[in-house]
Amino acid sequence: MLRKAREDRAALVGRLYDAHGAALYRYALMLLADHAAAEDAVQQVFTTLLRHRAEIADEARYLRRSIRNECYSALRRKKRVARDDRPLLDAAEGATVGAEERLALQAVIAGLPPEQREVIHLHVFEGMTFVEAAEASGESMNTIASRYRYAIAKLRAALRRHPE
Amino acid sequence: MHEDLEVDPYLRQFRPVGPEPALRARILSAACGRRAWPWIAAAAALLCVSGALHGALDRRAAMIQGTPEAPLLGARVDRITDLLDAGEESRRIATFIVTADEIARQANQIEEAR
Repeated sequence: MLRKAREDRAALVGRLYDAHGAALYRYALMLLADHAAAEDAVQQVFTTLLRHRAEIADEARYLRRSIRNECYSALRRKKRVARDDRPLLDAAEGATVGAEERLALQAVIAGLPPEQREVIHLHVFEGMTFVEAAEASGESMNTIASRYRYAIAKLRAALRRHPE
Repeated sequence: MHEDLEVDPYLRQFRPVGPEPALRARILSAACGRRAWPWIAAAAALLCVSGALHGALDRRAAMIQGTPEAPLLGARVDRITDLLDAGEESRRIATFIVTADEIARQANQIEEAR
């Protein structure tokens, strides 16, 4: 009976990870700007998920909220996140960008506050509208739009200083 | 806004790196691993030998809920619940273990104070 329960749990976690794991990881990576911390956050979310599985109505929404809360908790716990050597950014499908260009951009993005990185992620990399990003993050649309403007202004200024 | 459009398409040439394939196995192992078995056996044995104390523990657990230690104890219950199978029965066992441990700790403190 216990083995069956464990297999059911593994099937549930496996299914949800396959459906949402990569997206959650990318979200966590953009919030934390650190691979090891993002891995820990995703693992924690899936472990906690089993505790609340009976109460979850919308899995995607639950997981997104959960990873966001976990990442902001991690940011509060650690004053400064240690960074490893793995890159934060890849070239998008069909795009051709040089390694140096990618490294320069990721350095600028990593220097943004987590809230601004989050908006860049939701709006640019996930393609959400401001309304959708506001819904996903639980913030107001004005807050999202304002964070986006600040982030874009900083990115523009930094990219001007370090042209391709 | 026009200026935003210059940066936005540039950013869209990139995307955050995805997880390494090993993360899936790590998460499955952490969430559903076999390490629960020794805990289950120990917890079941503890339950058998101390059934008579259960009522008293429940009353004491209710008292502990309002103490400053309660959040810490709650976190311990969560951790042990996760180490078991994260179900309702596991939570009951975890609560039992943590409460018994807390009572023993408090009894020791009283003893030492004497």
